[in-house]
This record gives sequence, structure tokens and C-alpha cells, in this order.
Amino acid sequence: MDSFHIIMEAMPQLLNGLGRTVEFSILTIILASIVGLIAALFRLSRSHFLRFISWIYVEIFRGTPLLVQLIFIALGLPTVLPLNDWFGPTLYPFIAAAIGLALNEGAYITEIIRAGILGIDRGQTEAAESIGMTRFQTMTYIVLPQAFKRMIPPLVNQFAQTIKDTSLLAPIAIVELLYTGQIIVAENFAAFQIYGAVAFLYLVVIFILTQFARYLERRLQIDKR
Amino acid sequence: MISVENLKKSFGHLEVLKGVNAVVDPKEVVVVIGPSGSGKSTFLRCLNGLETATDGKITILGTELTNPKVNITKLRQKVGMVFQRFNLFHHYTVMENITIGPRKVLKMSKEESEKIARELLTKVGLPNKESSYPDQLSGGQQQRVAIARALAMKPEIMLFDEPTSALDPEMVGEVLKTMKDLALEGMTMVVVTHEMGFAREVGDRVIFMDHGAIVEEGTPEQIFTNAQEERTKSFLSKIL
Amino acid sequence: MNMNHKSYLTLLATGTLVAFALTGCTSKSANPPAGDQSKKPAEAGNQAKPSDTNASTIHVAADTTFPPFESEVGGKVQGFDIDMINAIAKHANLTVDMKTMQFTGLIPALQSGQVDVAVAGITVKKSRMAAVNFSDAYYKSGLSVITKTTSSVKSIDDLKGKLVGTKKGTSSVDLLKSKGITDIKQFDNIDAAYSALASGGVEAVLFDNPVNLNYANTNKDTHVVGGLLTGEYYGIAISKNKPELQKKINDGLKAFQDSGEYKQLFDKYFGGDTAGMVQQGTTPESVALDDTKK
Repeated sequence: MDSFHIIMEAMPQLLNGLGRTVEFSILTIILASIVGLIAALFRLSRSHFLRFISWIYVEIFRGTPLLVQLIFIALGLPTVLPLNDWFGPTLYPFIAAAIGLALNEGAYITEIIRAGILGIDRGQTEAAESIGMTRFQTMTYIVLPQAFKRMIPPLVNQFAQTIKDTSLLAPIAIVELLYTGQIIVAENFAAFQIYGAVAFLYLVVIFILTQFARYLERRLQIDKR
Repeated sequence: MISVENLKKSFGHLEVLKGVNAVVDPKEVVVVIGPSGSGKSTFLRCLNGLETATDGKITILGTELTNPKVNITKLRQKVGMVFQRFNLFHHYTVMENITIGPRKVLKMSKEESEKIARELLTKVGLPNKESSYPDQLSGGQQQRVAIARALAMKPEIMLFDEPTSALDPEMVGEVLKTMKDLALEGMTMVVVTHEMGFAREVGDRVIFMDHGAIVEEGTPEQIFTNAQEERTKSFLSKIL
Repeated sequence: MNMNHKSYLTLLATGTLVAFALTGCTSKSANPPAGDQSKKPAEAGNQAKPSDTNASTIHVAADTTFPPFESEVGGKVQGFDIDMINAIAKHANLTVDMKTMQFTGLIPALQSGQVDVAVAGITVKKSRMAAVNFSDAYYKSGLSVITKTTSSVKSIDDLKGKLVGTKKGTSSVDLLKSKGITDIKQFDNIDAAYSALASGGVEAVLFDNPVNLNYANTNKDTHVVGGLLTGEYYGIAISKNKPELQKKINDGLKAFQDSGEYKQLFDKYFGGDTAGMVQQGTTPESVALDDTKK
């Protein structure tokens, strides 16, 4: 059987795995953005306590490997907490995977958002405060919308990284693209063809993401300038 | 209307204001002049809480600004501010720049706030620019929009922090004219500026500051033609 | 900018497709039938990169998460398979260069010539024989079910509709599928499956009996139920790029079995239980699991 047919035969299964990968990526990107935004606001808040919480969070999740975090949450934590009983053994690994990924990517997004916010001219904040806006209003209506535009390139980088990082779910037995590929290779040993196809599928998804970001960036440029 | 007692402000070890006392009466236009680094901008910024006083007491419209319990956000609605660098919101149109305050802070309806904005834009001479973005306007136009933005909050006091310093010379006039109109309507104004012509023509009182303190104050007539202090004379001789 | 990016990607995509197409023509060398490759040992030798440094050195891969056959203790690889391959190498006058990798990487590594030999309690299967050569069988194993002593599971028939853990790409997966069990969680190594068992992540683990027994011995809240499910035999996997190695290793294996070292390893690792002992000269063809029919 030639390579083309090996790949084509595996394609339905691979696309199914790709579907899981995309689902996990989207879920993670949404959760991580929420986590990252909250942690970034904590980091910039006036409260020492909130700043400390945010700092610790970012240091822990950037200072340890994602794979270790995932294995710890998915396989380590349930040995001391009855998590599999609470959530059910089918659901818990997905929760663990989503939380692990979201917290890890969220730590990086925290720094991106923080830098984006700090990059906005202080004059914008002062002008907003001078017309009586609260800190929250200033953040919501003035700073974040402007910061967001600058954050698009680094955020898209991070989102692309997130998609790649979902491949680290394979070792904790979450069905995604790489896991699917490994299982196919274990049956047909066509490592070159299958892993090549796996890599290519990741490339396609990330390419679509970066092109969309490019389009978005251009749109915002045209609208707001 | 504004009363400042023994205002001190330090940044780290640097004491920028060394005990300033001043009073501004209703409908009065007070012009603050002085060399750069004299503390005049810091003084102005203290008046709406953009800088927190290190010591002393500021009372505005009967409310003590320097009291930590005072809701400064509320007070700022009554004190408009115009910045040297305009600080228009880059991501909003001219219309949105003017209406966002009334709508979000005063909870005014879109229609009402836009009606006010159009009146103000006509007043500052920019009736056709409501859908432009700030970066599409000249500096003078931006500063006039910034004035309209502050006026939309219906403030009782307007603070101007070197409003013409960042402008090309040919645009200074249009901004000064807008400010003069405002003064003629009876707005209480504190203006930090290098425009001595404006100080002389529009100002009710001129304050000369140097090294974080008020050196001399009086009517424009007194300051410009009959200054008592050496430092005032020396400053004016350089600038006039 | 935009243009550059696009043409770059097109180039990349084209490159990938061309690479696939090319290997399409030569894929026989990736999955060669047994006899084909042996006709051109010279070419095969060229492909097998690591070995051309020293003809008498064999590059051995092991997956060290398979106690008591292989495990890594204090950074040292040890176990039944390790002692055995060292003994065989000694008899065959070969030097062993040991490296460890994941189980799913073993056969691709043999195919690519990255390693010459793999020992990892590899079950002799027809599908695998198409990809690699096997030595004579050296251990008779079987799969079994391990579960918590508190579980209601008494045999593999009770596993339907329950979550079952095992190791990615092993013969256990085939058996579970053949029994109509679909909720299979395949982990990269069996330790993770046992962790899941301990924490309730899976109801049971289906895996090679000796490994299950080894775990049950140290974890008293688990036990093996339902006895041996399959007869399967472990063989040493050998790269098809090195057909001459098959005979050398088989000869070494025979000498190892004759010398009594074979028996000693059963004492050392299985407490003298010789249920897994295999007759000398048990050819892979005679014991291969037929997994080729779907």
C-alpha cells in the first residue's frame, strides 16, 4: 500500500482526532483568556493580596512544564482527592485537561494582557478619570479596547502555542490528534506517513488561525484609524 | 470655589510643591505661569486628584478633596480637565469621545448626549467632524474636541494644563479663542500656560510660580507691568 | 509580507506532499516483506546508521515501564529482558548499547534503523512480523484483568460499558476491541493506567499478566481476576535492516537457555514461577497472534 492510501485510510480517524483537538483548543483559549484577564487585573490592582495571588499563579504555571501539570492534575490529584467519584471517571479527565491547559496558557496570557494594558499611554487613563469614570469604567471602555488591538499578535502566538500544547494531552489518554496518530501507528507502523499527516493537520489549523488574526488586525486598523 | 491651603507634594525625595496657598472665586479665570519645573502643572493636577497631595488641604465646591474618604470620582465630574497632549480616546470617534462621559458616568441617553455633543461641536467650531477619529484631526482640532469632551460633563470648573504647548503655532489661536469664549460665558477656569497674551487679555488674576511655591500674584496689569519680585521680572523679561 | 507568507506555506505544503508521494514509490522499504530486504543487505546496512560504527555492537531499545521485564531503578535499566539480552549478547559475542524509548516508538525505531533490536515484552503478532523480524519466543505470557478487590468485576465479560485502562498500542487493545469493549483509555505507559485504577479513573486494567501480578503484589487492594485470557509469546524484535542478526540472537538465546541462566532469571524475577518458560526453538511463526483480519 502506498503512502497516499495509508494516509487516506487513516484520515477519517485522524480528522476525528483533529476535531477533539480543535474543541479542546477553543475551550482552552476561551477559559485561558478569562483566567488571564482576571489574573492580569489582579496583577495591576491596588491590593497587595490580589497582586500576590496573581504573581504566585503566574510563577507556578510558567515555572513548571505543562506536561507535568497535566499529569499531576489528571493522574496525581485523584489519588488523594476522590475527584473521579465527584465528577465520574469519564468526565474528570476532560475537566483535568481543560483546567490544566487553561491555567497554564492563562499564565502566559496574563503577562500578555498585563503588558498590553501597561502599553497604553497614561494620558488615556487620566483623561477617562478626569471625566469622572471609575477605574472599572476606565478599564472597560478606554484601556482594554485599545490594549486589545496591540495584544492581537502576541495573543495569536499564544493561541497557536495552545493548539500545539493540546498534543500534550495524549499521554494522559485524552483522545486528540496525536493520540489518534499514535494508535494508528501502533496498528500499521506507518510512522512517517501518519505522524507526517498529524503534523500537517496541526499546520493547517494554525495557518487558518494566523490568517484569521491577520484579517482581524487589518479590519481593526481600517476601522479605527 | 477652590481653596488650597499649604499644599505639598513630593515624588520620592523630590519636593515639587512646597506649601501652596491659593483661592479661586466663582467665574474667575486664574492663569498660572512660571518656568518649567516650577510645579505649576503638578499644582493643577492636584486640583482634580490626578496627583495625590502629600500634605495640605484642597477644598473644591465645598468638598475636601484631600480627605481620603471623599469620592473623588464624583467630584471629578464637576471639574473638567484639558491636557497638553489632548488625550483623546484613539479608538472612539469625535462623537463617541464627547458622549462617552455623559452616557457612562451621568447615564444620559444616547440621543440626549449626542444632542449636547453637537451643540458643543458647533460651539468649538467643528460641526462636521463628529464621525472622524482623533488621529484624522489636526492638533488644534483635537484640542477643541478635548475641550468639548470636558464641557459635555457640564463641569463647574475647567482646568487647562498647557493646552497650546503641543500645538503648531498656527493652531494656537483657534484653541485660545475657544477658551476665551468659555471665559466670557462665565466659566471658572484655572489655566497653566505660556501664552502671555491670553493671560493678559482673558485672565482675571495671574499667579507666578517658581520652585514649587507661589512667588507673586495679582491682576495681569500688576504682574506684567509692575511686578514686585525680582524672579517675576526676570522670568517675564525672558518670555516677553 | 503577505505574499511571502503564502508562497512559503505553499512551498511547505508542496514539499510535504512530494515527500509523501516519493515514499509512496519506495514504501516497500518501509514495510518490506520478509524476504525482499534480505536480498540487499548492503543497502540495508547503509540505512542502518548507528551500527556501521562497530559491527559487533547492537543498539538495543527498551521501554522501561514494564516491570519485572524492564524498569528503571535509580537511573539504571534493569529487569528480566535486560539480563536476558545482555546474556544473549555475551553468548553471541556482541556488545549492547542500550537506550530507552516509549513502546509506540519501538517498531518505528527498528524500521528506521535507529536501533537494531528491541526488548520490551513485545508480543509476537502477525502485523508486527510484517514490520520487524522476531527471535524465537522467550516467554509465554497472556493478558489478564486487574481490578480493585472491592470491584464487582470478576472477568473480562464484566468489563462491557466500563472504563478500562491499558497501554497505548499494545495487544491488550486488540483483545478489548474484539470483546466489544469500546471505553478504552490508552495511556503512554502502564504506570499511568495503574494510577488511574488506584484513583478510580478506570474500573479495571487489562494488561500482560506478569506485569499485573507484579502490581497486585505490591498493591494489596488490587487483584488479578479471571485468569489468563490469551496465550501470547514475547519475542525479541529485530530490525529487518539487519537480517543476519536474527540468527545470531536465536543462537545466543539457545545458548542462554542451555546454560541455565534462563532458569535463574525465573528465580530472580518470578520467584521461581516457571509458567512463562518456553521450549527452546519456539519459532515466532508458530506462536504469532493473528491480528491481521479485521
